[in-house]
Amino acid sequence: MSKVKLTINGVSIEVEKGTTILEAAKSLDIGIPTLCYVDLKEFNVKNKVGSCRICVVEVDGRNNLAPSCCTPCEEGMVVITNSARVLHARRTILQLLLSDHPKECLTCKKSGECELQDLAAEYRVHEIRYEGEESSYPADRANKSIYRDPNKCIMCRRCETACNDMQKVGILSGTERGFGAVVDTAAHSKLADTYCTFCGQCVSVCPTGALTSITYNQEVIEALADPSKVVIAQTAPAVRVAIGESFAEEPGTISTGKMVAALKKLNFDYVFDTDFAADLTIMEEANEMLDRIKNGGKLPILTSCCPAWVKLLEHQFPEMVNIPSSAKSPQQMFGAVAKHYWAKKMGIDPHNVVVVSVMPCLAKKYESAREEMKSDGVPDVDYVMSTRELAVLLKESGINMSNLKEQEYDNPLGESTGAAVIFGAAGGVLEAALRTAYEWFTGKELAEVNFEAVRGIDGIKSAEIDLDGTTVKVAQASGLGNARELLNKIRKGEEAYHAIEIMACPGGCINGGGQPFIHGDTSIIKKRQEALYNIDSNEEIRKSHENPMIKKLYKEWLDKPGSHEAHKYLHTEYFERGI
Amino acid sequence: MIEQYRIVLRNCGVIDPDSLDDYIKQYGYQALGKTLAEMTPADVVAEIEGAGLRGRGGGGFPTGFKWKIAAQQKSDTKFVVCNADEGDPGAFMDRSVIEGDPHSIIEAMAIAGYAIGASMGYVYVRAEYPLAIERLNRAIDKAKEKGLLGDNILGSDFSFDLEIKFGAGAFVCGEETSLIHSIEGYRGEPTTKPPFPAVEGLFGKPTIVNNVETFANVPAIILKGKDWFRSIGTESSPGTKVFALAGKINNTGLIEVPMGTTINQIIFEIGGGIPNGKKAKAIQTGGPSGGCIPVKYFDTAIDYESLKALESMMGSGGMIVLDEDTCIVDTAKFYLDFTVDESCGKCTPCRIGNKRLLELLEKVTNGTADENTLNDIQSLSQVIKDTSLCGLGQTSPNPVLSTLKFFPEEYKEHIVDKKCSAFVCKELYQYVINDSCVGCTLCSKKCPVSCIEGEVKGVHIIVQDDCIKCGKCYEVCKFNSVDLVPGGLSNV
Amino acid sequence: MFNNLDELKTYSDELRNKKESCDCVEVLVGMSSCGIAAGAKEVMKALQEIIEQRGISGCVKVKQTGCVGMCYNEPTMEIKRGDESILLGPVNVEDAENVVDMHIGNELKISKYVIGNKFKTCLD
Ligand SMILES: Cc1cc2nc3c(=O)[nH]c(=O)nc-3n(C[C@H](O)[C@H](O)[C@H](O)COP(=O)(O)O)c2cc1C
Ligand code: SF4
Ligand code: SF4
Ligand code: SF4
Ligand code: SF4
Ligand code: SF4
Ligand code: SF4
Repeated sequence: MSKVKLTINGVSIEVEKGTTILEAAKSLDIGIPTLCYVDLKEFNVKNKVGSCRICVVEVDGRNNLAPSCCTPCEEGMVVITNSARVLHARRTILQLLLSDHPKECLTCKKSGECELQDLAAEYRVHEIRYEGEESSYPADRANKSIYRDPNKCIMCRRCETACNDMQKVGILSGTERGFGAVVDTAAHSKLADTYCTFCGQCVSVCPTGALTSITYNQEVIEALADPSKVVIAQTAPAVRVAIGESFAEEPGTISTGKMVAALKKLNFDYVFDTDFAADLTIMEEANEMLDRIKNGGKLPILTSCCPAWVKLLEHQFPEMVNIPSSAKSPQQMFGAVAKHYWAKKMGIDPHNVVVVSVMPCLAKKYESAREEMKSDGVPDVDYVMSTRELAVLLKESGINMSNLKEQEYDNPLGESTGAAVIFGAAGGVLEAALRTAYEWFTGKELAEVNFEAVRGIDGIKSAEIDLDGTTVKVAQASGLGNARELLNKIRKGEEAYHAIEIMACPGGCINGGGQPFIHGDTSIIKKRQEALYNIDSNEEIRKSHENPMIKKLYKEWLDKPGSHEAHKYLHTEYFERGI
Repeated sequence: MIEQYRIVLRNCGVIDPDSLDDYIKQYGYQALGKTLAEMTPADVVAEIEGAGLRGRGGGGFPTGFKWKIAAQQKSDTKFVVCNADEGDPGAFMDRSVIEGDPHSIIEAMAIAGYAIGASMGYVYVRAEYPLAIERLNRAIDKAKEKGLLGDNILGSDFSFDLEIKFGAGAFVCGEETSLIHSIEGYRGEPTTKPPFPAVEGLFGKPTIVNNVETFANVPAIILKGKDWFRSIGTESSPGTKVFALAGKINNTGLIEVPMGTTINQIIFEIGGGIPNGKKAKAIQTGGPSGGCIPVKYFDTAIDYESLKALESMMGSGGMIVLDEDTCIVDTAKFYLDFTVDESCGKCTPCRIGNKRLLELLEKVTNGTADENTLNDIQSLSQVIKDTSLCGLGQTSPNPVLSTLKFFPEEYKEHIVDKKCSAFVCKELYQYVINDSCVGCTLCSKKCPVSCIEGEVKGVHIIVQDDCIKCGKCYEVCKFNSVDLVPGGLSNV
Repeated sequence: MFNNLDELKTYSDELRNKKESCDCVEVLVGMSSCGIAAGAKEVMKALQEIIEQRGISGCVKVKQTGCVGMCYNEPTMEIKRGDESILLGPVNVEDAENVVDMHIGNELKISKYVIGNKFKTCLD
């Protein structure tokens, strides 16, 4: 790679050819604002459309200003990032954006976390010089997961890049022209009428309040205040390593105990752990996997814990709808166990139990509302709140999680193993399943429980596992784009596996659509991932089938994995969905 | 007396476009034959570069240089694209060339393919040009039949094929990166340059995009040589330019004259002057990216640089003559209105900025502007030019800036006096009936909204609040009793 | 099929050197979109019919061509006799008979239809 020399604000710098002015300036610690630009480095995805024009700089010898995010450095360039002309242009761009934007910061869901709001504050835009007609588009809240308000869209196209380039689902794109141009679904249809998976990756990257989640916080508050209800919480594995960020903790901080304490402060009657159900999922899934391998069943077996991925399959790989494991996701299993086992034991009418899930995920909201996700006519899960929404509820209730004393999950549904907690990272489900499958299949103790080959946030990973003489081929894909690539290969017969784990979000649930915003800093995802594996390695019990409470559950209720009772409560089915 | 001299239009109106024989009779395909038999690709690039041919699609970029860059790229696949999107309102020379002389474009594109090392070309024609598409299709088939296109052209090793792509009809699809994305099947939306198409274009491969008129020059240059071409036109802009004359001019239509011809020569010697004994006020060139050049500069010899110096552009060659009855603010508003509609909406300054600029102009024409409006217009225009992503936004304020520069008093008249001397801006004039009214009642019978009151044989009165300013009363009154007067803001 | 440049050149020369046996007239009707919109198709048909009726189709050829650029005079046509040529326009269907009388039957070079001469081109 050849190098080029240039000066930025009078400082000389040498960079590799192809480096953008923005990147070069960053290495000199010169700040240039950006709105549309985002670099999801760890996932090799960049939104570099150059559409917002906020990052313009002055380049000597050029007639107009240059967008620094997509202008490569050239030999001898003289760049000024903060001239009067530049600052005037940026302020005008901001004023223009705001002139066609609902000024609803006080009531906006994104307030406080909105990149547009931050910039307006930074640039002290205290008047809007050019006022005029404002766009007016209908909002879409006709689904359980995602709220779309195109009036707040600034056409940064980040969601488009996330949905089309990274997830390769292709739901959102630029539509119409001129002043009426807006990012929308192809036929201006509602998300629910598209094959949107509700993975929420678009929400994760949206800088404004145009894409947010649909929240049930109010319903939760009301349930908590209702004395006739027993309100119980379950928290997904990935939440504990991310929620700290909302309370100014370092990324990767493990907040399990404080989070439990905070939930109790909110007056949840019981605080349980989705990890318990993750162990249960492994029991059912590993059993199904071995059954299929031993008895010539359909292979590969695909994991089914991620509802966004399941929805993609139902829409776009209809001929494969019968190959995922029929096991419900941990969230749903938890609800079924809580309402039909635990409630009975406690002598509570399942109708009076309210299950609130705290999830890193927006698709879980959609999943909990699926028609099949009921047992004996009672929905497994009542409300799903995202990690971000829990943080909001805590702050609103005046609870500073950081200052709380750690507390333990309640029993019995709070007991879990190291195998369960890694569900939150891509590859974790597969690893947990392998730990159990190995021992069941070989009858021997697994010496090395760490399956490093399936760890990490690379899009597609594969490994061959030796089950004492029988080789099992496994693969893992995270990010729906990668999932599609892998499935296409299987469809064409180019690759064959015994078991595949798929997670819709790149890197897994630690990067879920409901997690605290990372604002393009993908190193945070890696830190969350490390934290999960740390929890696992510090656990005494690291295999799901060794969870004593799980053993008890089978003894008292389900008999054995795959039993009639287990099928009734813990398994489900999938449907071809068309478009 | 200046005369037309036709290079681009050499065969238009001369040959039957559906007859390959007619084209061959006019030395057709001999330039291609000559390049294949006698020249290396580098020779061809050098000839075009030496001729000083510049892009006729608007920007005036040196064609030979563009070809050279593409030729230098190492790639197994390259493309030649002919831009026949012709979205500029009022321009139709590209359509005329394809309809009248389709083989000249096929021949030129094959020459370009040979020069840069491409074996595939696309002609991007707007779908609103069905006749052009039909004739081009027939011409492609005939050329293939005779070994003038396709595999091993004229017995050489060189093969070149052509395909027609239909434009979606949006103006911005004529911008080269947008056009490329449209051919690729994506939304016709520009992307930042670099990378330039000559380096990374269609399907990521080196691609030259040239305008129809640019291509039409190529066979002539190859046949007659670069020195001949340089002998026509001006030093910096050799050759001819086709202009589409429209507006207040007697001889509307297409003309082709050497670069360096003056505006006066074009309007008065070729265009036959201004109709109805009116005076010329300005000439609009460059379409929505251009500006209005006032009469006092009409002796300017036209080329790329001189038009730029006058805050305008060559553009694709639209020339609209404005006479004394034209309101200059309204003219600027017309062009901006066009860009606002045609912007792709991708970048902030163009999507929102141009809309706001239009709203500011509307304030001027409807009398609600104040002392800050001109400042706002200037300042916003500058930012739009400075920060827009593609040529559309970068040039969209030109009609405003040029009129503001050359006709400031007309803007001030609208803003300060609330007056439109041309009586074009509806909010700034009114019809009133003077004392000479004999009360014939004709006007009140004709008024479509019945807002004229008065007794038979008595002086009539227009109820200004209801008047829609259709001008019917003014037209029908036989006694000159209806006056058109400035003012009238109050009743809007 | 042309196998090389020489074949093409020879053919081109032949086309140019071919002399019509009699003093033939060629009528070129401007048939671009603008001409067609102004009625050029109908005019061309009318001309052909008149020429057919008068039995002079042997030495009068009516052909289509592209646009000469004179929008204000569409439909336009060029009448060529040997090396001479004149441009006419606007010629509407009602004018067809007149035009045949005045310009095809005669050698008249001036009439209300004449709008000028052929333009100079780089191939002259
Ligand atoms: C908004 C916009 C519209 C354009 N439309 C056209 C067009 O219709 N035809 C054209 O040839 N060039 C058009 N251009 C210029 C092309 O981008 C490109 O420069 C040109 O096709 C290059 O060919 P040339 O060098 O032969 O002129 C347009 C540019 C812009 C910014
Ligand atoms: S999207 Fe951002 S700027 Fe817009 S109203 Fe919401 S918080 Fe305010
Ligand atoms: S939720 Fe996922 S699939 Fe749906 S639009 Fe957003 S990114 Fe695309
Ligand atoms: S919805 Fe959000 S992410 Fe998508 S373009 Fe609009 S502002 Fe950007
Ligand atoms: S990967 Fe996890 S967070 Fe993402 S959609 Fe799937 S379950 Fe939800
Ligand atoms: S300048 Fe206008 S047309 Fe060009 S990219 Fe921006 S919005 Fe689109
Ligand atoms: S201008 Fe038209 S509407 Fe007004 S008074 Fe005259 S006729 Fe009536």
